[in-house]
Amino acid sequence: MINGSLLRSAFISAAHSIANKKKSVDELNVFPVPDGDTGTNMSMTIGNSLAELENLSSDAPCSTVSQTMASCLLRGARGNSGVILSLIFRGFAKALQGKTEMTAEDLVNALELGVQGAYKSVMKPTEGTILTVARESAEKAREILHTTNDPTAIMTDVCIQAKLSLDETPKLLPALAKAGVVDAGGMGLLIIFEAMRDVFNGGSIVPLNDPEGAKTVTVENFASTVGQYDAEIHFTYCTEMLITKKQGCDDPAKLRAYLETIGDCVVVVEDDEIIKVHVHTNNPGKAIEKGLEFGCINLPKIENMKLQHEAKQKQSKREFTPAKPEKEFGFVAVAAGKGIEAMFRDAGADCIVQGGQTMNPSTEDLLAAIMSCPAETVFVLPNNKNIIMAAEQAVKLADRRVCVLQTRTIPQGMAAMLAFDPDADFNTNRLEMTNALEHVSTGQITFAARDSDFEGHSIKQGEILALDNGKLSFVEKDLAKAAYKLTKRLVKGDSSFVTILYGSDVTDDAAEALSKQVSSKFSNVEVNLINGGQPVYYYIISVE
Amino acid sequence: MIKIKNHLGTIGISTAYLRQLISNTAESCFGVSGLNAYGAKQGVYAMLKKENTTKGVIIRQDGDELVVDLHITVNYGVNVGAIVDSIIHKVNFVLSEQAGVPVKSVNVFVDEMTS
Repeated sequence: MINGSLLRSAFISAAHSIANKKKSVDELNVFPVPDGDTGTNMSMTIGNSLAELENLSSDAPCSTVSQTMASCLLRGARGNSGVILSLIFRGFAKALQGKTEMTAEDLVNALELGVQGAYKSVMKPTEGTILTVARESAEKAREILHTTNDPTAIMTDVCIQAKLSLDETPKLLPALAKAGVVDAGGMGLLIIFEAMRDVFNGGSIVPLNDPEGAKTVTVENFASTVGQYDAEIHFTYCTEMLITKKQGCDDPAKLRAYLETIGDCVVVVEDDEIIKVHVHTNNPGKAIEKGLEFGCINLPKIENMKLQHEAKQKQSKREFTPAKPEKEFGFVAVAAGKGIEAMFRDAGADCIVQGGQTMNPSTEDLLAAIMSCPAETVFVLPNNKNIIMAAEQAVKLADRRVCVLQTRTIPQGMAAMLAFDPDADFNTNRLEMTNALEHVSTGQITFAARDSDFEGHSIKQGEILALDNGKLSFVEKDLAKAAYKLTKRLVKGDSSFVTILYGSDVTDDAAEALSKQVSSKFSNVEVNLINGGQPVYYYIISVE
Repeated sequence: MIKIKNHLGTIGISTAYLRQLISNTAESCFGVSGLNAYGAKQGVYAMLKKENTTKGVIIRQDGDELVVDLHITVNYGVNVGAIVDSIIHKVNFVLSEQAGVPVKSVNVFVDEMTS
């Protein structure tokens, strides 16, 4: 037989246990939605009942205790797991109606009614969650009812079954197996059942490790209240302390009144046992002295805010400052090599990020460039397929509209920029520029960095590689021959422009010779020779 | 047909697909013990067919975004605020994740209660 007082202790202990372990339950979460913090939600839900349970007189019957518990949980339910928990405890309220003490059968009925309620509330119950754990535990309880009439023994078996069911959850839900965890809600339920079992077995109530955790004033919202005040600094020291109230201490309002005379941003939060104090003052000693009159002080913290502020300002100086938008469109181009950079600048790029093959700029570099671009809409030309991803990451972080054009090569980037029409709107421009970049064929001449076997070509280190639109076209030993051969492959009947960008490792004379060779071969195309100064690639050839 | 335009072209997703998707999502949400036919058209469907799985789901397009109305039945004894909150999150998540449709709003109407 379990009396009301024992049941109350069991519930309180359960609330404390889940609050203590909410972090570890949170960590089990694999679903990004919708029940983000299962542990926190369960502990908040059940924590709501603490105050009311503690207010009950110690001779309250089981019916009152379970009613109180159920109604608090219903009102305070947060998230799916919280709602399910409230239904399980509603089962207790129903089964114990009008009873002063709980028998073994009552306990089994309570668990069954709770599970029934929970299952009734959903059209398609997902197995492998807290629902499964609760159901299988209740079934187990019913199964062993005829062997014992001791509710404590039943609770013990319920816990064993809950643990087994919990371990099975990854088999039922692939998402859990993938993440290598058990269900978070089920884990929470097991913690609650185990805490209740321990109390039924004569154990004492588990103390609460983190007094604020389950209370209405959480650490987080305490910090955010404080945060709002921190904008201006009149007083130097941010002082915080926890005071464990002593017997018959004064009204904490007096403490607040005093603190307001020596500082500002005063926050005094109290519950039954502790007072949490935050004040900005020039006399932290006085605040602590006064606090001592109310009880023992714990975790006092004194910080010099002026120093903090200076450190913060220094930090923000190192970061970029976003430029104010002055015009409608801006460009950020990724390029390497003086000639190519100058080319993009001439074409109207506001900001050049150094980078390219073998030296990819980070998302942060790109973001800094985007933010320093004084335009409402910024087009980003990554000019390399490995940089497109990083650029797209930056889109989400920027405070302005950013469009990443899928330019994989330098000539594509150039073509896109040239297609830009400052009078057209955003969508038209995006379309036009995307079209333009698709009409460019790019050839690149580089060297093999190491021996390899790639797409059927066996390549020796140092050999010349010719890439046709990013794909390996052929391998050659002689640079001049390779460049000529690649150009020949790229030029089609309707091609009219050939642009040759030669890199930092190519002499002017060699490039000149190539240009002459190409223009004599193709009389109907215009050949442009530009000193790009790019590393890695000897030649970048674009054909339009 | 819900149409989404981007710089590469147009994506058309049939209303039937979206309604089925939303309906399945809603049914698997905790606290939804039923979806209710809403409006004249759905009412007629519900009378003719026994199982019309997409009843209670109404979608419309506002610009490029989707507005979803859900008409649900809940069970007695649940915190309606908490479950509706999680339904809205889940539907929103599934639509953006699986269909790639930006969602403007998800409106949940609790029409009935069972005990």
